[in-house]
Amino acid sequence: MSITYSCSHLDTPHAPLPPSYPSSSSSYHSLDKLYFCEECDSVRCDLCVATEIASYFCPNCLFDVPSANVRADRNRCARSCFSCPICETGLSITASDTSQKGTGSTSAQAGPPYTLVCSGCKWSSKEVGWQFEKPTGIALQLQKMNTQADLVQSEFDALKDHLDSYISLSTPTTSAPSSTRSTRNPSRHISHITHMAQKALHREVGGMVAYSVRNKRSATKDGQDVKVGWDELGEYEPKESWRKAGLERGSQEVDALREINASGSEGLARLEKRWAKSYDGSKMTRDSLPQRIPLQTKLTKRCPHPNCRHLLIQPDTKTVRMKIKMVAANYLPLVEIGRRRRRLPNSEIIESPDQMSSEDIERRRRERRRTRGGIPVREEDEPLNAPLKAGEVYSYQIALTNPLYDPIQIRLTQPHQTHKAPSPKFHLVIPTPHFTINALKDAWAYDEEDEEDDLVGVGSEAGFSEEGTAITSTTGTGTETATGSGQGTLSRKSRLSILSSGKNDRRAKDREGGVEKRGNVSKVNLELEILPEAKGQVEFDLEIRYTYRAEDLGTPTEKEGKTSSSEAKTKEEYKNFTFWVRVKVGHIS
Amino acid sequence: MGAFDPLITYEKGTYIETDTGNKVSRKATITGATNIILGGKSIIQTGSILRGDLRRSTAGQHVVISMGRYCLIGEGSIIRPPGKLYKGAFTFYPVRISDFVHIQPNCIIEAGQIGSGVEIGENCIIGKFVITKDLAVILPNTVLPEGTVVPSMSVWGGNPGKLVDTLPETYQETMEAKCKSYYQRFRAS
Amino acid sequence: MSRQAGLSAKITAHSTSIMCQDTDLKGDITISEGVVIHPKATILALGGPIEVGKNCIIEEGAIIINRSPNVLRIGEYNQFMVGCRIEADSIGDWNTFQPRSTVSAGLVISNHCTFSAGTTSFPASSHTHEASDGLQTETETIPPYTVVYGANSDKRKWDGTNQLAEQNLREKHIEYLREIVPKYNRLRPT
Repeated sequence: MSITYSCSHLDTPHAPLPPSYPSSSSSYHSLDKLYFCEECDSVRCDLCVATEIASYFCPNCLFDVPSANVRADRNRCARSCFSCPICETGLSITASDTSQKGTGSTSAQAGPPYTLVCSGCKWSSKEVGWQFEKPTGIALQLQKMNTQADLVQSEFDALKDHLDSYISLSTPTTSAPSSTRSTRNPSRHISHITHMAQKALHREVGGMVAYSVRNKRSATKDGQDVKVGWDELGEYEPKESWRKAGLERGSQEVDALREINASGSEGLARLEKRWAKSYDGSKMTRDSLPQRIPLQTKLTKRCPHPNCRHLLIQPDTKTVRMKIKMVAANYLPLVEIGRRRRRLPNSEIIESPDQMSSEDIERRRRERRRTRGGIPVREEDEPLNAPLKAGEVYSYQIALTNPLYDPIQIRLTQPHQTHKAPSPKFHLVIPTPHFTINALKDAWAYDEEDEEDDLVGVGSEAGFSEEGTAITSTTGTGTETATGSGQGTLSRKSRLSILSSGKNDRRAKDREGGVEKRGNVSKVNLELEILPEAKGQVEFDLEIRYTYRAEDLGTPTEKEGKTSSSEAKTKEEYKNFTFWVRVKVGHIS
Repeated sequence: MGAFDPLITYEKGTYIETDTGNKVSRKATITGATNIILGGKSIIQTGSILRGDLRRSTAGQHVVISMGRYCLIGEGSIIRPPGKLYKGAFTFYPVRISDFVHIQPNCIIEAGQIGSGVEIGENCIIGKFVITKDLAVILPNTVLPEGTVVPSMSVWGGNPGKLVDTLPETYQETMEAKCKSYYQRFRAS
Repeated sequence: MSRQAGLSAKITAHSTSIMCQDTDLKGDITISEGVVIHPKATILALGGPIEVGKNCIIEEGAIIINRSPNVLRIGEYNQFMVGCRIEADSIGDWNTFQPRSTVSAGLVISNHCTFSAGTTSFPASSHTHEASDGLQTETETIPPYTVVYGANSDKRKWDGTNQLAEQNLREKHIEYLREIVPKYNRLRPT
């Protein structure tokens, strides 16, 4: 049971592919995850927005790391935040308790050395021989303690020198064309990357040395071969024989195997822990070291359209507020589904489902409508998530919530499918395709005005329902549908008047036309007839078009500044917006 | 939001309603009530325990548990101030809970601070001195060890708890609407 | 409640212990000096008696049960934290049972062990043999300084870092509780 909204990404908005196409599912998202670009007048999702990193912070100490330092710190917290090598909890710094024995009671706050301790599994950095003189700047103290082996460092320096000449050669050629491209190319920071790479080469690289050497070499090679022939880079002669190092490592493996035999499987570090570490770690648990905690980011999101690129999300670095927040929830009505009811079989239409031909089904549908006119149809409330049964008729309520401060008119249809879809598993009837939703008001206003929700809406909606047509997923003949719905409208009125006889008149008026209104929410019915022998997931798309009042000309629009078509600016006071939702109703048991 | 959410009813008289709209179950265990502050429109459900008696060691009046508006302490959840040594003496520290905080049933909370718009799922154990910043979600059955820091807009899960996801930008509105709706639907039958 | 209706409480408590009124104590229970039992704690000596050693802390929602006919001896300075459920055969000194940790019958807990929040401990199946009389004849001993942690209740050994500081904390903690708890809670007479 879910309702998701379609995002057409950079395409012009169109009805998405029918649910039977697996490829169509990728463009659906829940409303709270969608964005809305006022300039393009369209929905954007996380898959299509362009993101940039607004700021970096450490999730443990919540320190905002200046972006200039992030690279040097290798995207991890450079202060004192480490994660436990056993359970990945953040480690805390504690003083050792050696001086406690003196008075026994008051001097628990002992001095150095300090250790990192895990509150989750009681691991302590003593186990790997880490102790610190000061309780602050642990990462820095550690860097001093553990410098790279000379062998690796000198090799790295030599390689750095070697590549330096190459990068200084290539920079002018890359920066010139990229500046002209930058106006339209979304990935214009490529030139920045080369600059950054150049800078990064001059920096200290810790545990990643061997890995980054290898990688950088191949990366620069691939990235640059267009501008500078890669063979312009002279052959690099390693200072040391790494073959020998490899052999050494081979013998380490043998030792490791022996240890595993001795310690059992617990001695072996888990795979995910080894992956979290840098290249070339030991496989044993006892060698696992605390890792500095990776930084998190706040993201700026932009409209992906090449001619737009307006900001959709701009976070504030200091607080949780957003400087710019263009989310679809403030523009599109929220669609919810609920109140599932199953029609109880009428005595006159008890037939075995397998004997029914298509005419039978048609007849049954007509029958169903007629019966509703006379005696009220018996329906039974069911839990929303219970499996559906083939051959049953279900009715649902669908609720739309208006996020705008103006009333809107809704047209609810099934999208016209140009693509050949497989034969449907069900018939969907929308008895009330046209209705209005009242404007969003401040919460306090509802208490008083709840009962007298504007009658204008009711009037116009009654007008709508006269011409309302039921649209089914089969291509039923025009006359059939029209008459059917005509009857439906009339009969529904009579039924509703029976139902609402006990309630007050105003409520009855609100219900007229099958719409139940409360505040800025309108609820209408959907009828779903599951065909006999249908199987699997029941899902369908709905096309929802809403008409809203555009703001007056000249004044800057605050809510609905949609000026997509030029003629709309001058003449029309009302505008339309169409979107598509996918309704997943459940499985047929 | 929540157009189809049903009413949540309780038997009349089983909850005490305060002037500021708090609803406190008569079957909740509240010790040291004078040290507890409720912001209004908050719900404390049956079987929950609030340890207002575990106060600071220094003399004077101390707030032990403070709670903002539109909060929920679910059935069987326990709120207990964390304690540690300060200058060689043991003392408890207050638990500060902001607005729009939902603590689902059977949680054990020893946090130091829970920011506004935080949802803590069922059966969570929030360790001593955990700091949860504004707008965060702790998934059901999560265990956060002592001293964990939960940053804004993050989702935590597992034992021990880890950062598993980030929240959509609309979360603040969603959570506030949810808390208000829950309060309005929570009525005597 | 009906199941335990016939069970009368026979509580022997030391005069320095603090037992809140709002607790569920059943069966033959001996409370040693300095013990603090918070409100809403449960101790059920359904089979044999339970002897709680000096200076233990039993917090709200903690449940200690002895179903076996033998005595369940609990050593000194143990902390039974919120919502833990302990059915161990015997418990040494200075153990910590963190919130909602579960220890099943058939375990002998030595000293300085930590059962982290939300973990479950039970004897390894190879050690448990149902004898013909239906009683468990073998038990598993949890060695000193064991830490049970994480979602899979893994075990590891604590290297004893900051042990003195932790013990100091425990001593101060219970001292403070003995001072503060009687001010706000009704106590059982000792």
